[in-house]
Amino acid sequence: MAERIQIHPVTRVEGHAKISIYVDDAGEVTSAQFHVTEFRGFEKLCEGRPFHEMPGLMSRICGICPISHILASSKAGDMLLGVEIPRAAAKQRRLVNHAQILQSHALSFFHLSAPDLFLGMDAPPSKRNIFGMLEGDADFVRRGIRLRQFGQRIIELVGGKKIHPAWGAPGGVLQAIGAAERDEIRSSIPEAIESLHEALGRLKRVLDSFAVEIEHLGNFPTLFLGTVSPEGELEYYDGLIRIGDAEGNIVADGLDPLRYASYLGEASEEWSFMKLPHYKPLGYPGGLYRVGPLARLNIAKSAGTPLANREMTEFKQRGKGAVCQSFHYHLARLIEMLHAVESIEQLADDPDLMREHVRAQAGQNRHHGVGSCEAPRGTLFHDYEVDDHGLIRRANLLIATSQNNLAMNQTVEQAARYFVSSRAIQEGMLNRVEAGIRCFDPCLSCSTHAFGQASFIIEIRNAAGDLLQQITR
Amino acid sequence: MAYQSLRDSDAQIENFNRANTVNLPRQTHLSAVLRLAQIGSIMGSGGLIVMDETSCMVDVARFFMEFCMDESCGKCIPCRAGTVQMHDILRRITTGEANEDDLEMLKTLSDLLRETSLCGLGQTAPNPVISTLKYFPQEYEAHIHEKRCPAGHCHMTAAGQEVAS
Amino acid sequence: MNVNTLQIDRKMVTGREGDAIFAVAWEHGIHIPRLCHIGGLSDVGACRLCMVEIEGQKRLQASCLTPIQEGMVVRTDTPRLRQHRKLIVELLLAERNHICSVCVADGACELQSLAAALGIDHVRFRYRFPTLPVDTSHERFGLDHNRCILCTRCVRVCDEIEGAHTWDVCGRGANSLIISDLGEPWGESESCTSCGKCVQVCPTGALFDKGKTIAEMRRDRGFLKYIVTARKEKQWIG
Repeated sequence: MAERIQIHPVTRVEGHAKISIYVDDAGEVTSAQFHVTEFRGFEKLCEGRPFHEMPGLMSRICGICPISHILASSKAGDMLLGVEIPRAAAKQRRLVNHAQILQSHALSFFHLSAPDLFLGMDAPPSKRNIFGMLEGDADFVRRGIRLRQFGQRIIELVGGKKIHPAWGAPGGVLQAIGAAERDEIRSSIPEAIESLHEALGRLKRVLDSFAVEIEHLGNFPTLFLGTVSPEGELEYYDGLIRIGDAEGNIVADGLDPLRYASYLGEASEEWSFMKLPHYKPLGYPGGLYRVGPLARLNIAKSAGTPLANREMTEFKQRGKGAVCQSFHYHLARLIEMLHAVESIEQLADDPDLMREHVRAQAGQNRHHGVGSCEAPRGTLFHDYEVDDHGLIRRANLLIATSQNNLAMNQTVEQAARYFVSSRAIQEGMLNRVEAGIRCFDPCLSCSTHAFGQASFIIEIRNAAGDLLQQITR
Repeated sequence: MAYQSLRDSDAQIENFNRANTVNLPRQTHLSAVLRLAQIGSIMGSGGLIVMDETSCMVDVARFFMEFCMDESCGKCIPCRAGTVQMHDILRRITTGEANEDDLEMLKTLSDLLRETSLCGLGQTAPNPVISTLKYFPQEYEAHIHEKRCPAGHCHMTAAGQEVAS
Repeated sequence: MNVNTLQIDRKMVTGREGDAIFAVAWEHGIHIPRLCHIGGLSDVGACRLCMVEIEGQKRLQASCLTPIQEGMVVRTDTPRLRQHRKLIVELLLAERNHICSVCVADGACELQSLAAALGIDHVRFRYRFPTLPVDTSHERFGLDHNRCILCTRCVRVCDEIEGAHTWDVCGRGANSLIISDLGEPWGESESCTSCGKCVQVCPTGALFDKGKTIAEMRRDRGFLKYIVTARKEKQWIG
């Protein structure tokens, strides 16, 4: 007898989505899909616009990681101009990128995932949120909020405002920064490092109690993709692409991000507006790979900063070869935040940062430009073709979250098979399916350009595709 | 050709002002029958359009607005952009997609165009709207509230039906 | 030179005979809104934003084109005028694609600042979303019809100051478009001297320096005053 339950909407993810869980006649889960149901279409609406506008226009895709879009877009613009940007501009871009990774990861960890981690997956939903956290340990939550504030403040000090700053441009950035700004950034670093040490300690202490989740929320072998520096260290702004496998081997190295289309394919399915990128040599869907904090830590040999290095060495011991448990995205995120704060400190001490010359001037010299950088959620590519007069003829965006699409689908399926039984649906079971998605910190508005009504729906279907239960919240 | 005397048609004017309808004796001099300014009209190029109850007054207003929109030179903003918006509202009334706010905006825009347009085209563009609103308000209300065209002229679209429900 | 005394917004002011109400008001710190007027160019009275009420006259008058008269009583900021101005700016915002957040002139746009000053926080009209081209064929400048309000400042400055008359308006009504020469791409215009005066007088982001990104476009209009003054005073002769 078909029955229907609704959970609507899902909490603590950025954007809107739906999950379908297929159930056989015996009530066992056979498969699951993660649908992104809406569409925004930035690739289309920028056609006919001058490429100089792209950093500002593309940053409007997202209010959480506008900096990533500004950077990838500006870098594509640099390529269209055919210039090397001034050192100060490159340093500013690096600084602000680290600041954004810090604030975005802080949001994901403290605001969105900490309630699951520190209050428990089965805590009552009314308490399982940042306000419930505040009741328990206000100081810890405040530290998280201040970490995010620190990242946002750097963006504001350098770019002029926290969200969507008019700052990046093809050829560099719009303004130089002064000593007062730099000193303010420096002054907040000790507190940030202290907060991160505390968060890392706390997370590591509770990890043992999540053994089942670590085992069954997105734990499977995949490839990992990210940017590394020439030395093979963590790199977020400008480097070459490395692809590693689950055993920790390097599958491909030194790939030019500009030629991403030669090794990354983009499939699409009618059940989702989110593209399904895959590693071309292994085809679709076999070329499944993960990006973001977990992937970056897996492929880089070291962090390149002392404190993060120590944590990273310890982290790598959690896997045989690569760390394949998606649950460890949380830990990876904290380590990346530590690395970001250390990098911010290094950049603040760099005399190049404050040079006055921040923009290279040139006319258009190319018709095709690609820009890439590491966004908080993974590798981001912006690819523009322009006409003789610099108007966008075609744009293609390859967004971090969409590169995790195949892995998120597999995570949902794995979590549903283990935790969900169609006979007795409990809230905590479904929260674990959601938590599987939360590991990836997906930013759905970025990846699909979706708009419209917020909804998160879990559907349970039988073999014939009939809806048994629908859970909306 | 002998025109009837002015005196003969005074009664007709009264009749018109009372009932908005007039039965014209043959060969009546028009200016004798209709004191145009008095009833809010102008002679223009000398044309006269005769309509009966099968003409939808909203659609008539829309038709004249379309004419003004097409003829606007585009120099001043109230006429260039205002006629476009007024035409859009009138069109939506005839398809059943308009609401009470649109009717208010139609009146507001009429004032704007009359008072601020640069030349006579824009200043008089709202006249058909103002006149039909004055003499046939029930036709506007039927379109907006009942999604119905009393003259049986307008086709209400699916979008219009949605507004109604 | 005859001087007239009149009242503007309950303030007694004086101006030279023949001067426009608009100019006299601004000289006395009464800033009547405008988009088509710019000091140094002829007035066309197209935007209708500077309309004022004159005591004893039923009709509103465009203050940029109405000369002062002795004893005149003018009001520049009544509820009726404010309502009209708000509507006019809303009509402009709905007419083309004025998207401030991704516009080169964001933060230095007369349409944007006027909308803010009039308290426009939403537009009551349906946006028209026309499909309009961007002309970036010129080596140094660009023209984005999406941001154009057809004020014709570019047309006038090119004709009256530069003397090239590259710009003009084609089409009519809502289909009006600024064109260079007979509709050639700007980069192919034979009359354009690439002086850039049109770019400096544009009130919105319609004309811009090529290569400028969002919110980067800033304008310098100082040239208008010294060219116009030098011509009037014949400062270059002798």
